[in-house]
Amino acid sequence: MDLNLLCKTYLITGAGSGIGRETSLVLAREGANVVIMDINPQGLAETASLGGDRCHPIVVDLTNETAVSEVVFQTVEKYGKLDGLVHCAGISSRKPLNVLSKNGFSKVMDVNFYSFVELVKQCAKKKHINDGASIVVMSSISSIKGYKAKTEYCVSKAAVDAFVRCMALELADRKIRINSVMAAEVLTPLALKAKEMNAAVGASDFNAPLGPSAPYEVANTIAFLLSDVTKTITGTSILIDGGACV
Amino acid sequence: MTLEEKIALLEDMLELDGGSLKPETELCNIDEYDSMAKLSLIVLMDDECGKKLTGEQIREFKTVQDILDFMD
Repeated sequence: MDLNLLCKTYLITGAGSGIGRETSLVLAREGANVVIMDINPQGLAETASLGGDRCHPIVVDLTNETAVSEVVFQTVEKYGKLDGLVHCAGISSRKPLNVLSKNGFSKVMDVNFYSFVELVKQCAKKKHINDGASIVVMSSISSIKGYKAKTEYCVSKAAVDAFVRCMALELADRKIRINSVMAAEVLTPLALKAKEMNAAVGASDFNAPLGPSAPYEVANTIAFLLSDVTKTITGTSILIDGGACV
Repeated sequence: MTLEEKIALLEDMLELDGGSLKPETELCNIDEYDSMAKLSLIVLMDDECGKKLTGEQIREFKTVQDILDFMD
């Protein structure tokens, strides 16, 4: 199957590690130009080094709306209109009810949700994106399942999926598609750190019959959703959960 | 933060009556000190003491005194 991503231009957030890095590498191998973003300069430099000439790194704090706007503007100026956006940046949170706070929610929502809203707002401008473009965001089965002490994270991912459904309708006139990928446990540095903490405190983990997914599996699914072979998939969430939701 | 304030903070987190905890109290004898309480403790240490608590450090806590020492 030819994904036909050659010379197309994509913005990828959270590209300094995990799923964001793997997606950047998959798209670069397919011949796309990928503008990779992360707040971590070291991780981003490693991804750029692995991805070669097709990867263009920009260190940015996605919670800074002005910076996000500038990055989108600069990217279009340098590489032309975008063919898509992939939002992989995110933070995790383990907090029981008695320590939940408005500030805590704001921190998680800023990175996991509001930054995506701002990115889509900037990217979706007619002067910034081609008709027929595709937007993909990392969600989680936490969007539809409950977990002890994961309220902030679950709420942020549920918000992302609700936003995806609304945007699918708003952007459909321009044939711009938007979807999310609902992962369960993916073997990323973030997940491994969380697993270690769960083991230390005796909290439960994901329990998927097929076990955890590898980052490349998620990256391949993202590439599929970005490609022209899926012109009518929009406003939905693709599960990659090893059967955790069955 | 005084010793009394620290103990009161832990009692509040565990929803225990005031005076329930002593420095020498063994954590394994506190029913309320479960996995959720340990996650709350991580947040509490960060918010109240500006200290990051690791999984390894939590495993090493045996008594209330160990937590009080970490809060210093």
